Amino acid sequence: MHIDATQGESLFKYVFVFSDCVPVKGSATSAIYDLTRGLISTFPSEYYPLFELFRTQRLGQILDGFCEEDRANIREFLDFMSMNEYITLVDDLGPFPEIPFSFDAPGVIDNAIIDVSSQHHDYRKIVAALASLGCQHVQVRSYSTLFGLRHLVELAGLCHGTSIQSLEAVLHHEPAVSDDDYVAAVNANRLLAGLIIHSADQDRQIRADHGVSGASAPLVAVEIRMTRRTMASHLDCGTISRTNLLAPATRTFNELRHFNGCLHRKLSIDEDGQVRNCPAMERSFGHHASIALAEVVASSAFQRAWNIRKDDVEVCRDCPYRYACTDCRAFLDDPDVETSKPLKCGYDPYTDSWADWTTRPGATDTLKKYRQRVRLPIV
Amino acid sequence: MNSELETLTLGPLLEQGLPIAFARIFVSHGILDESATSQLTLHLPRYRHRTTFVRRPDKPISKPEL
Repeated sequence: MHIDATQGESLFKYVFVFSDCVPVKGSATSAIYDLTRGLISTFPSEYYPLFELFRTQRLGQILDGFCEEDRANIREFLDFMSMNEYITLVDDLGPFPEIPFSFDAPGVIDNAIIDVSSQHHDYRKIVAALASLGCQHVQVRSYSTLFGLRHLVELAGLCHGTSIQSLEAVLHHEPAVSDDDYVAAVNANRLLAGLIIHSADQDRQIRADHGVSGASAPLVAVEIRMTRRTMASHLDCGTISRTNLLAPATRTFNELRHFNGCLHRKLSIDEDGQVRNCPAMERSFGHHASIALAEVVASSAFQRAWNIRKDDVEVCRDCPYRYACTDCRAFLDDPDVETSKPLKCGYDPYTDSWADWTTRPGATDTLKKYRQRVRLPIV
Repeated sequence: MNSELETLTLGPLLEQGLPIAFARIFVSHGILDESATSQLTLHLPRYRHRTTFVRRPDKPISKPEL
């Protein structure tokens, strides 16, 4: 669709930004999130104030307020917006209310991480407790071969018939386990929604298709990813890059506006069995075997991290991608400041540029501090 | 073209032992043209007992460096 902003009829209309296309202000660059198509378009922040004008003034009134050069730029901007179907012209904005930006979820806990390294946990107790909290998604991360495919299948069996809808796993490669074994395990367990095998002999992907072929196969298939890279501990987590930004959707967009994208309704069991918001965070709420998870989750101390929004975080609050980013509160650029930006993010919203986060001055030293901290007794 | 609905005769169907649900819902030749027939005819795929819906979380649970 093309909007002719010079035509008389258009000048008497309002510019309507579709309710599922939401502008997000950033520092150098702002963005518009298409919540239905799952797309983000960015534009220079100088144009952002136009969205305020769109709500109150007709197009002609808006253009009259600018010089000829600015008017040409605004027309170009309107073309960009209309070609992407973010806006249209209407006689009255009244019949087009905003989408409510409230968020809620059915479970007290939505997702959980279980880390395993040198000791097993009481999986039966953990699964029962998570199920009673309404947990829907579980990810198990194994840093050694102690927890292998056999254990994953057993864990899937424990989760079966509970509130848990999906089980993801990051497992250490086991030489004795063949590709067919991985595929058979995934095909036999509907709950297994993702499987990454680290420390593998080569990088490759295998597809478990649940016996489905043709056009519908991608809808149900699970890609099993083998990678030569190693995940040695919870320190190998928390990286924020362009590739792991969320495709915007109403549900996640609303959640990220009100809560922390990673920690909200998350519960973690670290490799020592300690209950934490995230396995890499310093504060423990006790050993899972000796406490009731429901009591921990109900405490305001545990829920405190849920409410650290991107709008509260330094630098991130100026980032146009802040509602598509699940954040990281475990590794901070300044570990002494709770609202410091994530250490492992390479985006600079003030210059709109991405860089390797390790090249930022002091970043590697900060990571060293985190590495040293894990050698100390944690609780 | 007759647009009146024909009286549905269930007797022959019941005699054949077919359940009533097998009877056509409407039998007016006026409204049951070729396109309507094709729309009403569902081509159901062969049932695959292993076909399954895999539920996935709507955001990454963690961000491993892999």
